[in-house]
Formats: sequence, structure tokens, C-alpha cells
Amino acid sequence: MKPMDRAPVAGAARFVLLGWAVVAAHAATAAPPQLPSEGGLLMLPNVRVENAARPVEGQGTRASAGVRAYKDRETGQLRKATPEEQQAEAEAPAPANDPAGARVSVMANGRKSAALDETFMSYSVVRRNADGSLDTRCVTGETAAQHAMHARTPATAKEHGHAR
Amino acid sequence: MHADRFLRTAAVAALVALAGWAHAAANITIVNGNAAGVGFNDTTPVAPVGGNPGTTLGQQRLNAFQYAASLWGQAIDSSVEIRVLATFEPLACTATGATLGSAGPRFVESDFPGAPVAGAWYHIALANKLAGTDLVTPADDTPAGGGAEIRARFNSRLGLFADCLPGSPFYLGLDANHGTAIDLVTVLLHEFGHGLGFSTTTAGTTGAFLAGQPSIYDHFAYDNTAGKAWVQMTDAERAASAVNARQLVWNGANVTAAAPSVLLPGTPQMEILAPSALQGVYLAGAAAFGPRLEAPGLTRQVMPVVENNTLGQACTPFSDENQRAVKNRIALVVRGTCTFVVKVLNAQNAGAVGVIVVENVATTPPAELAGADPAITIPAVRVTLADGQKLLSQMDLTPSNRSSGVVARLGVDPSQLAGADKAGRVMLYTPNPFVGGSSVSHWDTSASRNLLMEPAINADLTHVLAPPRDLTLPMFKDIGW
Repeated sequence: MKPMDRAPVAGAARFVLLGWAVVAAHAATAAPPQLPSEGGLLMLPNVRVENAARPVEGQGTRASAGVRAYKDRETGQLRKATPEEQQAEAEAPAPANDPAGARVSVMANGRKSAALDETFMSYSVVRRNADGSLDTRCVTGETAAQHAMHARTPATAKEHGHAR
Repeated sequence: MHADRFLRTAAVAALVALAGWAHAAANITIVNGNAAGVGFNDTTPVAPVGGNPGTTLGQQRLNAFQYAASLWGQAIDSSVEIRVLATFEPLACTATGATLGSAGPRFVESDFPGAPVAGAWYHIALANKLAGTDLVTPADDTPAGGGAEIRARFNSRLGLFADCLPGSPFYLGLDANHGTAIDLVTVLLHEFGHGLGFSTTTAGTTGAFLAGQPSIYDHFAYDNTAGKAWVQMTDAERAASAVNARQLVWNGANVTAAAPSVLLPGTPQMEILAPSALQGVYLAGAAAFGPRLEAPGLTRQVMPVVENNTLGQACTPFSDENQRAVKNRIALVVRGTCTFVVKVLNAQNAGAVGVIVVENVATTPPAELAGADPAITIPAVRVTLADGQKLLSQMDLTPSNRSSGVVARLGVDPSQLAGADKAGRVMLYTPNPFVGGSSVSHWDTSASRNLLMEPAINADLTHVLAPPRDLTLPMFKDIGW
């Protein structure tokens, strides 16, 4: 039985779900081996590419929610974080979404606009433990990233990989 | 028709059909912020892979960006162009870990013309859509920003150098056939999700609103313990809520309506039936191996595996004493040293019919037990260190002991979806301790199926944003997309 068949859904919600199911099905089929391209670059109907006026690598702007990857040593598969990794991620001192990291403007019509800065940037860093193992953590802000790089090894059991 | 031409025609037809559904369409521009020869402009020759026709590394990166942007552009609706200022650049990494990338809104807006909720921050791309105009034009922005709504950075060195997760580069194909590599399109879909609206601007550690205002996200974040939405709380209450494991939920009609079609029924749990001092339902992490937990579940006496007069790790075949203790019972062991499947297999070989693994780190909620071994036929769960200590407080660790008096049921609550509360509201990620950059602004990791907007990228994710595979689009609908 398909999951969608398991529970009753109210009429309006059922309509919404049907619509999403259509999108899902199309999205699934929207990953064929070939898409329109010219000279190696895709040509998609609702996306275009342009070059920035000047390169911006390394320039801090606001970002959030860095994604991290944890790789199982035995299978090579991606996996979820271990409790040690979660705890290590939590040890960083810098706050996420620091209100001081925003520059707020108030317009004449009452509209407010907040430019969000580097303090919201998330980093994932890796640290080598005394036993040679490595802990990965996700932190917010460069200060926290530096802290994470040099922090003391947490007093946890000697466990590695996802399955211990 | 030639096969290639047919595929190309079918692909275009699918894209056109998608763009037409419910008039959902937004135009997205990828603004290439890299200098010549690096990042998107890296001229290293590569072979086409997984439908990505690029012939240079830079082209393939750009194609992956385009493809992810296209999927988002087909799923959401806006009359205002969305500009993503993007770069591939060296980010922190070592041999076994790395920053994959990040993205976020460059601005948030409130009280703009057409704002559905007054005094609430909206991510700029959503605010533009709702206002029907570009609220921050290039003239309003820094020259480098150029009026972009989203900033995205990705790691240009991932998997390509010995000091940067060697052997695990981004998979640049478009078909999700990434094997053990990291699928760039999936990561991009996740990060674009944050940039488009899937995050709060409120500080989770202090509970402080940004400039005294909640984000629209905070109107939907509801704490079951407090019985309040985040917008109704004090700063201190929000800070407490941010670490209230599995009690903060998304109270949005679209997500709740869609959840039964996406999440599997049955939340793993351990219920203690005796002694009375321990009676109650406890959080449990399910095992990725062995039989799936069912209702009503397995009810047996729990016996500790004793090694050196303490709770054992069960990494070696059980002693005669331990075998006699756990036979036809649920074995209690502690996490550590060996894999979970080794522990469970040892318990199974000793005659145990179930296993409880006690976490050895003070975190909550308990993670799942990872691993794989088809030889395992008994159920297993992980419980928190605190709950394990609670069980142990009622147990005698004398090796010759044959009775603990602790009776447990390992099973699921069939009325509760995996990753949702009893009312069907999907849980947000609120581990204790707080995880900066991850807490609150993701779905909880107990969700099953795995969801795109969980804090870590899971290997089984597809490129689908909508039910019955994913809950991202319903969440977007809730906040105004």
C-alpha cells in the first residue's frame, strides 16, 4: 500500500496533496540522462546564468545552515551524525542568528529591511583527536570555527564511524 | 525517434509540464561570482556524468547549480526574479570531514506592501514574491551583492585533495546516482531551501528575535510542552524550547495535511511496564538493521549484560552467566568499542530476543542504531544515557542475578508518524545541547522517510521536494510561497 493511502485526508488537503504528487512525479522524471544544452551548458527554461560584475570569492556575506556530511568508514555511505559529533557541534561558543549581525533599515512606508552579515555563516570543521581519530562539527561564525579546530577532545568513549 | 532525441524531448516536456502545474514557476539567475579559471570557471576537462553534459569541471558545477535552481523554479511561484550569488571556493576541510557549502538569504524584510503577517521577517525572495516587486534592487545593494537574494558558497576542493575528504568529491551528475559520493544537486536543493525560507532569524541560544521581531517561521514553531508558539514566548522560553527535544513542532496546515503521505506510521518507543517507579514511555532510536519495530511490540524482562561488574558493551560472545541472564529476554548493553550489529548479534547468539543499547554520551534524543547485517533477526533500540541510568538504578549487576524486575516493551506507537507528534505535526530539530546552525531550522532526524531539510544529508534522498517523498514544499506553502 502506498503511504498516501494510509490515512484519510480532508478534501482540500487531498487536492493539495494531489498537486504536490504531480510535482513530485514530474520532478522525478525531470532527471533524465540528457537535458537541452549548448556547448556543455544546460539550457533550462526558467534558469539563466550571468557573471558577477567582479569576483566575490572569499567575501563575507550572510549565509546560514551549513550542511555537513558524515561518511561511514566501512561502507563509504553518507550517514547521520553520531551523538559525539552532535555534542561537538554544540560546543561552539558563537550564537547562531546573532541579532547584532544584522543592519536594519526602516523605510518611510514602515517597511523594514535587515541586511544579514557574516555572523550568521555556518561552518563545519574537523578536529584531530589525541588518539588520531577525527571529530566533525558544524558551528556558526569564524570565531566558533577556530574554537572548534582547537577545542579539547570530549571525554567520550572511543568510537568511530556510524555503527559503534 | 532516435533514443537521445526522445529523451531530450521527454525532458523538455517534463519541464514544461512542471512549469505549468498550478502556475508554479519562478525565474532564477545564477550569478557566477568566481574569477577566471577557478570555481565555475575551472577548465579542468571532465567526462559527462549522469546527464550533466559539461565538459569542464566548472561547467558541470554550473550545470548542477542550474539544475537544482530549475527544480526549485518549477516548484515555487514568483513574478520576481530570484538571483543567487554563487561561488565555488576553498572552504575548510581535512582528510575526513569538510564544509560542503552554505547558503542563506542576504536580506529579510517585514511590513512590506502585501505582507501577510505584520511585524514578521520574511526571507527576501519570499518577500519579493508577496510584494510583487524587487524590494532590494542592485541600486539598494553593495556593488558586490548586486541585489542578489541568496548567497551560496560551495567547497571547490571537496574530494579533490588529500586533505579534503579524499575519494568523496561532489557527484556532479543530475540523476541522483551518486553512489557513495556526495550529491551536489541534493546539497544545493537543501541550501537553496534555507535561502528561500526554511530557517528562522531568531537566535536559538538566547531566544532573542532579530531586531525585536519574529520571523514568519516562528509563527509556525510550536512547543508542545509550553503550549505556545515561538511568537508567544519570552526569550527565555524560546531558548528552552530550542533544546526541548522532540517537543517543538511545525504547526502549519499544509505540512500537517501532507505528513501522513510522507512519513511512515509508527514512532519508535520503549515503554517500561514494571517496576512502577520506572513506568512510562521513553524516547528510543530505532535500528537500521534487524526487524522493523511493530505494534504492540516485544514485551520481556530486561536483563543487563554484566562485564567487569558493570554494564557490558557486548563486543564479545557472552559468558555463560550472561547467556543465562538474557535468554528469551531483552539484553541491556552500553554503547562503545564495537559496532551496534556486533553487540546485537552477540546478544542474539546468546538467546536474547531484543536489545536495548544505552547511549554513552549525554545527548537527547537518542539517535538511531546504524549498521547493516542480514543475520540479525531481533529488534534493538537505543535509549539516552539518562534513561539508561534510570533503568540501571533498579537493577542488580551481580553476574549470577537472574531477575531484574524491569519489564519493557520495544515497539512503536502506530498512531504517531515517525517524525511527528501525536497530533501529526512534524517535529523540528531541537537536540540538547543546542547545535548552532542546525537546531530549530531543520526537521527532526527521527523523520522517516528521510527528509531533504533534516540537518544532515542522507544518502537516500531524491531530488523531489514534494509529497509523497518530501515535506519541503508544504512547509513553503505554509509560510506564503
